[in-house]
Amino acid sequence: MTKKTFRYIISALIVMMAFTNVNAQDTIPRKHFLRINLDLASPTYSYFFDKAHQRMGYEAMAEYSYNDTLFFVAEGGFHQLTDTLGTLYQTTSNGEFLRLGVNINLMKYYNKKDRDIFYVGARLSGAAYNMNYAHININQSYWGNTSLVVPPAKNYMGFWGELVVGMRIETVRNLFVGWDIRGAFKFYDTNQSTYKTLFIPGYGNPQNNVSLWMNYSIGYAF
Amino acid sequence: MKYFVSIILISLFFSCATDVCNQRTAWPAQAGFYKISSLGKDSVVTADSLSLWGLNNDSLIYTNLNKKTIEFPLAIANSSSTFVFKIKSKYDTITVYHTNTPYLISKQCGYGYQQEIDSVVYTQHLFTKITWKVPQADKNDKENIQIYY
Repeated sequence: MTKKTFRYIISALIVMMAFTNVNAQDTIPRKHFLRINLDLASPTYSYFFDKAHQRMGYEAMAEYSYNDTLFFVAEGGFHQLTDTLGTLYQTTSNGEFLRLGVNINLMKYYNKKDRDIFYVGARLSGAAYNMNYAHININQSYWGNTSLVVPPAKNYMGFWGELVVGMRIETVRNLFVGWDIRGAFKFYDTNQSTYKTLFIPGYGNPQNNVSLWMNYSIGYAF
Repeated sequence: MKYFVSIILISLFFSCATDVCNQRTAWPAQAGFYKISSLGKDSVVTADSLSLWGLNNDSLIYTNLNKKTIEFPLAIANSSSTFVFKIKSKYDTITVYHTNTPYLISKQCGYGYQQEIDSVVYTQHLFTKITWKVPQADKNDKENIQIYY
């Protein structure tokens, strides 16, 4: 009997020590959560650019927290740009894009309910887009100007990688605002014709191998 | 600090695009004047009182100038360009056959032409021989055609 009682006491002590230890180190695993963000910058482009650069679009971002540090990210949207350079050319590109990657959270949490994030991330990205030229004119002062016969609209694809830095702050319960700045590095554009693409949705001008991009977003965590 | 960073980021966002173009849509071809000396060597000569214009074009490229080298624009809408040379009251014509290939110069400049000389034919009232060594008319500032007279 004494031996049995001793066993129970030892067992109880071990269980209590275990619970006490958990409370002391606060190692309750954090809940995974999904955060959906909408980009506020894309729909407002047309207000900031002049009529020569008519740009519009929308973009959404989904983040899933694997743990405190690692977030899986999927981003996608639609962009359109009509670019006009006086009488020299007018071109329109529009299409969808998708970015997949991860964010690494750099913040330490002292409150387990805290879900703010300051992060760096990386993406692999692609876009399927349609591009056409309305006209192309070339000026020459001595012999006179000429117009190129422009090709019909055609579908292309573009691929690039991105490095991202940004943050999201919970302003009211479950509601976040944030920004990110991203450097994109072009891998390949399937348009290798004479008539160049001047805008890949989600990337920017593919005539530049590096593109700078920025998002302001509002998000909701589930 | 937050405001400072925000202002920098917003400035970056709106300062990415510049609409400045400082390139030509097509580069003129270049030619030099030469004389073959009695020793068989080429020597640069000056074309005195040179006037130059494109055939069927009212505008003169040079008017009564003394020139050792000249530049003349090849037509971008045609695959040949004919030029009339007047030197000391004598006339000659040079027709340059060329290939025009359109290309995007830049987003700020639009499209231009890369031009490459395919052949040259000429009259021989004053000129004795014409050679061409560099087919591309471009910004590399190389002489395309040598005119002997």
